[in-house]
Amino acid sequence: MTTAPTEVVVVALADGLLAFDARAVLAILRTPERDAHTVVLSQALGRRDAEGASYGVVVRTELGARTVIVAGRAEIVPVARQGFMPLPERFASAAGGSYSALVRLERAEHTLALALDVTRLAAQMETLRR
Amino acid sequence: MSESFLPVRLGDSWLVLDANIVREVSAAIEWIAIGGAPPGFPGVLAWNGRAVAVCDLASLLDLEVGPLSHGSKRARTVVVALESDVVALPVDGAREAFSALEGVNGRSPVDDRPYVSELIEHEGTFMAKVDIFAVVADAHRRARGA
Repeated sequence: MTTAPTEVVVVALADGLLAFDARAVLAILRTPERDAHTVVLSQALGRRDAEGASYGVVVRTELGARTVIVAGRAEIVPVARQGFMPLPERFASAAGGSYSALVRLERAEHTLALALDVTRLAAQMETLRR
Repeated sequence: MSESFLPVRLGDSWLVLDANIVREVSAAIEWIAIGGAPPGFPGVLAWNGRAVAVCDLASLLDLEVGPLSHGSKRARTVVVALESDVVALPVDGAREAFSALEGVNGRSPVDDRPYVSELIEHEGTFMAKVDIFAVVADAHRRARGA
């Protein structure tokens, strides 16, 4: 997926919004099954969950499908024109390189989100578990 | 030879930046914190269609001003271009740029403050001239573990 996404699936943590490339999202599950490959997003990033029931976002990664557990709500939001902006190189090591871009969303409020490189996030979690 | 400076305020401290590197002075721009970001660069904002690192001068210069943290804002954002890099500096205030001749009264060298090479008096206020290139380069080097 070398081209910038035109839509993202936006999820919330307690302190901000994160975005998955919508082309990589396979399903959103109310009661996801957890296995050795499940990624709890707040734990993986060292951040706090938003309020609300947890659910799973099934994402296609280079390692295979992975379920990412989040809380609150998820919604598909268009990306604003030229709104996908890769992060400066100095943030390459933040959270193991899991953040990839700043995304301007096509909506009235809370217009910015951080895009996640889910493959890196999943790989990082699996390395930690070994 | 004269140099041009942009005065900016952080808390009670007035600093001057080389006006030639300033690309924009605007109202506060929304920024997003990045967990695990390198010290002094707490997050990122959108500027002219690109993601630009937010640089917290107050923490890098050890000023008596609270660090920029998630959800906090400063009244003005100064965007500066440094060779191939662009960074955004949230500040509490900014004044009109001015010119000052080198080696005249009202400019005195400083030896004991990191990144500050001289004090420049402007309209009765002493302002510290900050070497932004060095501040950003050192912070970048530290972040890369060099």
